[in-house]
This record gives sequence, C-alpha cells and structure tokens, in this order.
Amino acid sequence: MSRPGARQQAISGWLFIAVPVVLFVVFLLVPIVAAGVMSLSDYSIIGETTWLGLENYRRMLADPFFWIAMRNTVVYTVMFVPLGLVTALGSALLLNRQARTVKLFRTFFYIPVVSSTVATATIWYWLLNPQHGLFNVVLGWFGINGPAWLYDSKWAMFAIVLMSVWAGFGANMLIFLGGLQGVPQELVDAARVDGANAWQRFRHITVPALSRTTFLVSTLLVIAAFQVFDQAYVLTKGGPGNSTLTIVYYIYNKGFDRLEMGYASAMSLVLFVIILVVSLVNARLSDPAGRRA
Amino acid sequence: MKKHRALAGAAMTAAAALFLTACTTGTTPEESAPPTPVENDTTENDTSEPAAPSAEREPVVFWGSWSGDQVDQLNTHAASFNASQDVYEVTYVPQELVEEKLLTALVGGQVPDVVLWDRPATALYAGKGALAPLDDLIARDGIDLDQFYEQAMREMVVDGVVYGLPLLVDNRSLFYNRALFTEAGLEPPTTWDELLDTATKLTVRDGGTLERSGFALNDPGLFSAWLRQAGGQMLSDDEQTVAFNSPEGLAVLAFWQELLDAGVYELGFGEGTDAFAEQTVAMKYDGPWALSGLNQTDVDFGIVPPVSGPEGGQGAGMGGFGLVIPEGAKNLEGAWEFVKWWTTQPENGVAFAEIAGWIPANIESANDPYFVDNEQYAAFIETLNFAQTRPQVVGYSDVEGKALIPALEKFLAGEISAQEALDEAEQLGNQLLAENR
Amino acid sequence: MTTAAPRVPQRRRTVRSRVTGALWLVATAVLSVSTIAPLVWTLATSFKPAGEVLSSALRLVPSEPTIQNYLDVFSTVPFGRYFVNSLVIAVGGALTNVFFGALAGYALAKLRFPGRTAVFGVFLGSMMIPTIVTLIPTFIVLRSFPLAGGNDILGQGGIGLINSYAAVLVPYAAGPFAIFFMRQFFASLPDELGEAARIDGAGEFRIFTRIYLPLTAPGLAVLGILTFQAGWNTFLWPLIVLNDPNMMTVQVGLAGFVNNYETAYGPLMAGTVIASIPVLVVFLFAQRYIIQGVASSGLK
Repeated sequence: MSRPGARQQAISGWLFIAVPVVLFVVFLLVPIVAAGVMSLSDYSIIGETTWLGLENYRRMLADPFFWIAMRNTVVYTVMFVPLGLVTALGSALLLNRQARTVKLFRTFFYIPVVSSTVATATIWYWLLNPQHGLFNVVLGWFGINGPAWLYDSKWAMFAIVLMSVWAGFGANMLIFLGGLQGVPQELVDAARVDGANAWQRFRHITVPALSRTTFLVSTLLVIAAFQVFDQAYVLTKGGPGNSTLTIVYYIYNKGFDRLEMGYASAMSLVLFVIILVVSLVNARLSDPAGRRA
Repeated sequence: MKKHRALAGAAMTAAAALFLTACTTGTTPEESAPPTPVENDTTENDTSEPAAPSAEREPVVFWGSWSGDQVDQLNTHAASFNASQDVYEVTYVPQELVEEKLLTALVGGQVPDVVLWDRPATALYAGKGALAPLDDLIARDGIDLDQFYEQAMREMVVDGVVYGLPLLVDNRSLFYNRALFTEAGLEPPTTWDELLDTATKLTVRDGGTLERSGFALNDPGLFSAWLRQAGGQMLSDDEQTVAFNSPEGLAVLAFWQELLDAGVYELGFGEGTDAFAEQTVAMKYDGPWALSGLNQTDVDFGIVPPVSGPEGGQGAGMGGFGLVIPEGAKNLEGAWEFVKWWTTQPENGVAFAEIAGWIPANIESANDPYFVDNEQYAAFIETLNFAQTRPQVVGYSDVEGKALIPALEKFLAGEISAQEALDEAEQLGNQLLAENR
Repeated sequence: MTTAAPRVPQRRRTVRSRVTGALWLVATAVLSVSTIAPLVWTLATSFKPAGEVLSSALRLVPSEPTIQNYLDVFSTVPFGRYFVNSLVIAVGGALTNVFFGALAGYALAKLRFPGRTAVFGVFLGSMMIPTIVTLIPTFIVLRSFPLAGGNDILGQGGIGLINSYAAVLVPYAAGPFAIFFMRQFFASLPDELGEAARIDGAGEFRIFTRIYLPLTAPGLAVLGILTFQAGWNTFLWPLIVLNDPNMMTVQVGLAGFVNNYETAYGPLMAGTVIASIPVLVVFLFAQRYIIQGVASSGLK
C-alpha cells in the first residue's frame, strides 16, 4: 500500500528537477556525447573530417607531450591539494574568533580571490624574480642562494602552486570557518578542563568534527587542480623546459591553436575519467563507512 | 515574517522567469538581429572629411585582435579609406583571439569580410578551407606580388595558392642605451665578439648581485636568427628533418655560454618590468612595437641591425601581419578593394605608420624617406633585407615551441649541456615533423 | 558532582595569552600584507601616467598622479556597456541558480521519487567534467537552437542564441554546484515539517515555498553571492559566444588591454580596479551571511 501523497510526491519531484535535468541533457550530456564522437575522428571545426576510430587514443599513448602534461598535472595536484587544505584550515583557525578586527582580516584574506589574474601574475613575477624578488632576498638573509624559480624547470611548478594556493585559500577559508562554527563548544570546554592542550583538542575534537567540510574542500581542490590552466598560461606559458605544461593547457593548445579538436576531445575525456576516479577514491578515503549522503 | 519571506520567494521566482523569457526571445536589439557591426558608429570613427551617408554604402566588416589604443589607429586608417571612395564602408571590430573567433564565425555562418591576420597562421587555416583564394583577383587586377618582401609574401601562399597579401612587417633589431654607451666611450657592436665585449663592459654588479645587465639574453626563441648568423639552418633542405643539431648550433650555444659566464645576464633578470626602460639593461633585441612605449620615457636609445656571426653571417626573424578574406565573406569585392588600397598603394602604408608606427610589407613603402631617414626605423628597414620568416612546414611551430625552446631553456638554466639540449630537441623535433607529415 | 573549574593563576594566563596574541597578530599581519599587496599595487599603477608605469613600475606612490587612465578606460572601449553586461550576466546567473538550485535541491533532499539517487549521483559527477570538453559542442548546440536568432525550426540559417545574454545564462542556469549545495541544506532540515503539512493536504510546491524555503534563507544568500562572483569573473565562455563589442563583459574587455606587443598597464589597472569593486562590495556586505550560511548547512 503506497503512502498517502506518494504519487503526488513523485510527480512533484520530477517536476522540480525538470529544468536542471533538461539543461543537463542539452548542455552537458549532448556535448559530452558529441565530444566522444569527435574523439573518434580528426574533427577540426572547419574543413573535412575523417573517421579515425580509436586512433586518437592510440596516438595519445605514444605522445610524449601527453605524458609530460599528465605528469606535470599530477605533480601540481599532489603539491596543491595538501597545501591548499592546510592554508585554508590554518587561516580559518586563525580567524575563528569574535574580535571586530577579525572581520577586516577576513576581507583581506579574501582579496586574492577577487584580484584579477593579471595583477596577481605581475606581483608574483616580482616576488619570484631571481635577483631582486622578495623570496630570494629573504632567502639571502639566511645565506641561501634561492633558485631561479620561474626560470628553473625544477622549481617553476612549485612556484605556480604557491601562487595558486595564495590566490584561492580565502574562499576555502570561508568554508572551513563555517565548518568550525559547528564544532561543539561543550566538548572543547570539557577537554580543556580535563587538561588537554590545544594540539590535542584540535586533533581529537576539531578534526573529526570537520570531516565533512574537509571532504568538500578536498574534492573541490582536486577537481580544480586537475584542471589547472590559467596560471600556467599567464605565468610561464608551459615552460621552462615544458615543466608547467599542464594537461588542460595541452588540450587547449591542440584543440584551439592546432585545430586538432578530435584529438583534444579524446584527451579531455581521458581527463574526465581520471578526475572521476580520483574523486571516488577521495570519497572512499574520507568516508569508508559510507555514512555521508 | 514567514509571509514576508514567501512573498520574497515568489517575487524572485517571477523575476527569474521574466528574466529568462526576456533573454531567450531576444527583446534587446543586439539579440534580435545577427551581429553585423554595420552601425556606423561615428563617435569612434575619427573622420577628417565627411563621408557619404552610410545607408548608401556597402559595409565591409574588418576584424582583428588589436585592441586598446590600436582600435583608434585602425579606425582612423579605415576612415581614410572610406573617405577615398564612396562605395564601401569599412568598420573595424576588435576581437580578442581573432583566430578562434573566426573559427566560431565559420561555424556560425557569420564571417567578417577582411581580417587583420597573423601571417604564420595562414597555412593552418588555408589548409582547412577557411580563407578565400585570391589568385583570380590578383590576376584580374594585375597585382605584382614582387612589390612585397618575399619572405612575407611566401607566408601567404599555401600549396601554390595565394590566400592573402602581407600588410605589416617587423623584425628584432638591437636596441642599445646610447647614454650608457657614450658614457663608457663605446660604439654599438656589429659582431658577436663586439657584442660580448661591450656587454661585459656595461655590466654592473654590486658585490655578487647583478645590478645592470649588459645584454638581455632572455629569449631562446630567437635561436633561429642566431643560428643563421652562425651560418646554420633550422631544417634540412627537404624540410623533412631538423638541422640545428650541428656545429653551427653548438657555436650559438657556446657563445651564449660565454655571455653567461661573463656574468652579463642572469635568468629572469628584469623580467616582469621593462628593464630597458628602467635602464637596468643596456642592450636587448626587440621590435618596432617597443618604440611607442620607450618614446614616452626619457631613455636615450638607438637601434642597430642584429650583429653578425663569426663568419659574417647575418640573421634576423621577420614577423608581421597580413590581410585575408575568409571563405564565405559577404562582401568579397569591398574587402578586396580595401586590401588593395592598403597594401599596394605605398602612401597608405606610410600613412598608417604615421598613425601607428608599423612598417609596411610593401617594399617601396617601407623604403620611403619617412622610414629610411628616421633614425628609429633605419635599422629595422636595413634588417628587413635579410630577415627571414619561419618555415611553413606543418608542425614546425611545435618543433620550436615544444621541442627546441624547452631544451634551450634548460640549457640556459644550466641543467643540461649544449649537446644534450640539441640532441633532445632534435629527437623530439624529428618525431613531431614525422607525425605531422 | 563536578567541582568548579580549576582556577588558572591569573599571571600565567596573561603572559601566555599575550604572547599568543602577539604571535597571532604577526601571522595575521604578514598574511594580510601579502594579500593586500596586489590591490595596493593595482591602485597605485592605475594612477600613474604611461611613462612612469614602465620606467618605475615598483614605486608605490606615483610621482605624477593622474586620473587619465580611468578616463581612457571609458573612452577607448565601451567599458560602461561592458559593466552593464557583466551585471546582467552575474545577477541573472545568481537568480536562476538560486531558484533552480533550491527547487531541485529540495526535491532531491525531501521528495521521494524513483531515480532520485541516480539523478543526484549524475549531477554530482557532472561537476567533474572539465569545461574544455564541452566548449565547442555547446557552442554548436547554442548556434543550432531552433527558432532563435534567425533559425528555422531545424535550427538552420541564423546564429541561434550566439551573441545574446542567453548564450551565457542558459547553459549554466542550474549548475550542479547550486543543486548540490542547496540539497545539503535541505537534507539537514527535519522531515516532520513536510510530513505534517502533507497530512494537512498541502500541495508540494506550497510545502516547498512556505515551509522549507524560508528556513534556508542564509544558504540562498550564500549561493547567490558565490554565483554572482563566478558569473562576474567568468572569462573564456563569454569570450567565445559574445562577438559584438556591445555584448562583451568586463573581463573580456580587460583582456583587450593585454597585447602581445604592448600591454596598456595604466588603463588595465584602472579597469581592474573598477571591475573588482562589485565583487568586493558584495563580499564585504555578505561576509556575515556566508559564514552563518555555511554553518547552518549540512556541510559541516
């Protein structure tokens, strides 16, 4: 026997999601299928198209630049995600208090998020300047000869990670701040009474309470990391020595600069699958019991 | 309170619905008609003489990626064309990333009539049928293609078919800080050895820190010019394989190493600002586009042609723009008239230089006294006589961009040796050429 | 049962809290300086005349301040028009995403219907699609939209929705992030409210608008603000679908000042300052809501 109003619920349910579903089908599903079809040809938007079957995928496996781009992107992700988490959480912890000045600081920390890429890139050029940039000047005070950063293929990617983390931590800080509001204060007080120090309180109360937030932020960071493009394009154009050639940069280059849309589509689909897999792994790691909706 | 919120919710819903319908039914003028920028926006066109009313003229849509101040420059020049006849009306529309916009225009079926075109892109797009062949029009109107710099002209020819005419040329010549040279009692260099010598003398270091660089060795992309100065070439004669992994190529890298060892330059020095304008760099290779910016500072500078190699070899890279007509353009005749007016009438090339500072690809125009007698242009014009454009082979840009330059960057950073760099570049480069054949 | 909290000696607490306080101030100040620096530099450069921009780029106080750059921004390009376009797109996007996000999020959280989990999973997965995959196909879809922009019923002949606000607004009107975000909100609200109303005979839409929606006002505010910001800053897609200078957005307009040959730093920085104002204003105003909004969602 069906519950009262079950039919009405079902109809309303579908009605409510109707528009998003239609938009999804028209503007996501159809284009993805189209991209899939394109990936099996040498589609170049204009001119003739020939059917290639799986040739693009075979070519990908043998393409040294595809592997260079993949490796660079993975390196970026491995550095970016933990660093992004730590800075966001750290700054949220710093600013999780009630003082009036704190609101001002929160705004300051958020400014990089709204700054234009050009202004940010120019500032970081100077910060990273091998001779007179702040980084190497400060390192020089400690007697360290700083690397040539954006001109050294071993350090350029790290420099880009630093800039990306700096540019984005404000937004994730807000998410963590919200999450911190949900840490049960009674537990914290009780723990303090029992003599737990700040680190112990953090590890055993705050961190578990933040698990959902951490999962959200880390997922967003991973998805963003695999699609890194702007910074590599503006700061280093894929150099030096191809060390900052990321996969999306390579896809864009092949698709729009070389008009090899078919090949670019094939690489994009591979990237999508990778992101999906990594996100699923991340979900499993954060929530093995499957509690979360 | 709840009622208030519900009302707000309802209002929001209504507003959203209204908004969406307004957008999709195209009630605003821009949406209801296809985007033909025919609106003769007289506030942008700085016409010196009144032109015939736009209603009587055929529109010619002119696209390019030049923006900012350059929009005015192009509008002024287009206005001269409009004033010179009363059949056509050219309007410039700036399009960021104009090659991509052309792609989407071709898909969308609304192509412009004429495009300010980056010449090296011709081979790729002509090969896909995006550009209209102009041989018939050239024959019909008796255009002599020898009036253009041969290197620039050949970039517009694909498989023997002409797809546009060259419009503007540039090259990189040697800028030097005349004040610093005079102060040190030096003459601008003409050979590699003199370059090394003057650069070393003009370099200033404070303790170990580089304060002034004698010569900015900051662009490994200019390798092809250096290679020619050394007497080498980038590709084999049949253009099937690369040829830069040669004694000449090694000579270039050895010289670069000498410059670096002399402490004349450090990677990244002065990048991110205009170091030459700040007078922390004494010499650099740059093009005519740098003139307008420099002329607004009070730097006393001069320009000489690029230095010659050990055996006297000369080399310089030529770049520049052309004018093309996309396939399917509505106003082929109007576009062609505009192209002819600008490229084949020397005085118009000079006129544009007076507005914008660019050198015309028309040889007679470029050798007009306006350029030759102007000390800031004289060197560029002289260099044009031996400047070369890049090979047209499919995949060549990747050979330079993905194989050669990254290897050179690692060499300059001291990570690999000269031979390793050229070997690596050769291997990847040949692979790219083979793949694209 | 428990004794009163042990009293910490006054003196020790003061010293320790003072040291911590000082460290806190230092850390925060250093971070703040690093984050404000670009804005300060942008402001300073926007007031420098052209010659000075190149020759003394690092100086923070212009020697000859001028507002010429701001005038240039509005005179060389139709920046006012760009501003309006960006506003339309950002506000429009915020409105549609808030509305459809709330509606769909509610349905996925509170209504039982067949296929609910699958639909939610698919929306979630679609957040991971790299934008670059769908760029050109989506363009083609928009261009072939039937009965729009001069198209016939088969979508041929005209330019479809290209070069209209719809080209930017429609594909992203109900983003998966909005739906996911609002769904988490609704999921944390008790079911009983709806059950009770249902027994009383209320219609589903009524239950949504009268009972649940008002309770998520902070979440709606957050979503609206985040979407506004995303819509304001988006660059690549408007670049591709908007051809006419009258339709371009502020970000596309700013990119026009950056050239392969000479970047017009002065007007570029002035334009950047103007373009940053709406987002900063919105953020300042709504900062409180954002934190409160995230806190009361099921995201913690």
